[in-house]
Amino acid sequence: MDNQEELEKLIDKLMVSDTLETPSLNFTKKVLEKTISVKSERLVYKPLLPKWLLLLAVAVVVGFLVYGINLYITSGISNPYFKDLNKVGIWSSNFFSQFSLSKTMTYAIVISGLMVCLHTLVLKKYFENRLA
Amino acid sequence: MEQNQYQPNVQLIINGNSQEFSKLVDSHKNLVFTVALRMLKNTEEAEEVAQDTFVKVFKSIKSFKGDSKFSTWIYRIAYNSCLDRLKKIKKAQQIKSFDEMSGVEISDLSTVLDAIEREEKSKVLKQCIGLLSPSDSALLTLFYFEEKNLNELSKILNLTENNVKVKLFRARARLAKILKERLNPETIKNYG
Repeated sequence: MDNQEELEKLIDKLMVSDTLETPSLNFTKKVLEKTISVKSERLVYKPLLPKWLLLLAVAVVVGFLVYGINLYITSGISNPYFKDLNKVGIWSSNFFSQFSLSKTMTYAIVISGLMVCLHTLVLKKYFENRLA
Repeated sequence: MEQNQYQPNVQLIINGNSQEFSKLVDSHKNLVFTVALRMLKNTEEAEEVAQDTFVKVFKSIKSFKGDSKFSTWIYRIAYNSCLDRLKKIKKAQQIKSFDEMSGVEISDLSTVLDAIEREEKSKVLKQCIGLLSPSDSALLTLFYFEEKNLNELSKILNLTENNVKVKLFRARARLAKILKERLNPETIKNYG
């Protein structure tokens, strides 16, 4: 035990003369430069879909619209294209009329929808804060 | 021995105040760099790891919970970064086994060290710490520069306080043995 205490005293006494090393002069500047790049990395907005895919989707929708309008102009509603479209409408209205929801169920669905919207807003705010 | 009392305004740093962050870097860079240098034994690598430490601090400052001193948190990041770098470069230092020194030997060494000039003592000490294992040198450096606070040290090293005490004793013994070996036999003869 005495030995241990003596050793402790010796090293304590010795370590008083210990000094810290100093890094290069522009150390802080370099760190700040690195953090600036971290900041800009954080601020970069990355869309979920790439631009080209969005453009392609818009082009396809516009293409169908132009095609539909052209058909309507040239052959009117009697065209098979519009007939099929009408069939889809009739089928879907028949399909959904089979279901009858209770009031409780309807309220539950509406409340769930509202909660999802609220959650989306909260998440949006959270991610915006993280990007800031 | 220099000690750090600066407490940064964390909220200002989170808000992107670079002036506050640079104050934080300036106040802790020397100890972070010293620990890195003593663990990695290479100036370039130590500088890089020290810089990365502050970048990590900047990135994760929001996750600082405040359950320890801010400096403790920084030194913990620095210590872990050094361990990661050591793993990466596989610079496993060979740790010599040292026999225990007798009381007479310690007392002789103490007399010799008393007689040596402060500047020279500091130089010798640095050389000897350089010969210690990365964990021993980090342990001693952090202990003596962090107000000998075992509780904070145990948080930095992720060890129990008792474990830190045992490791400190062993590190001191190794340092004393290296010192004895490194000191010029002439010096010992003259002063001892």
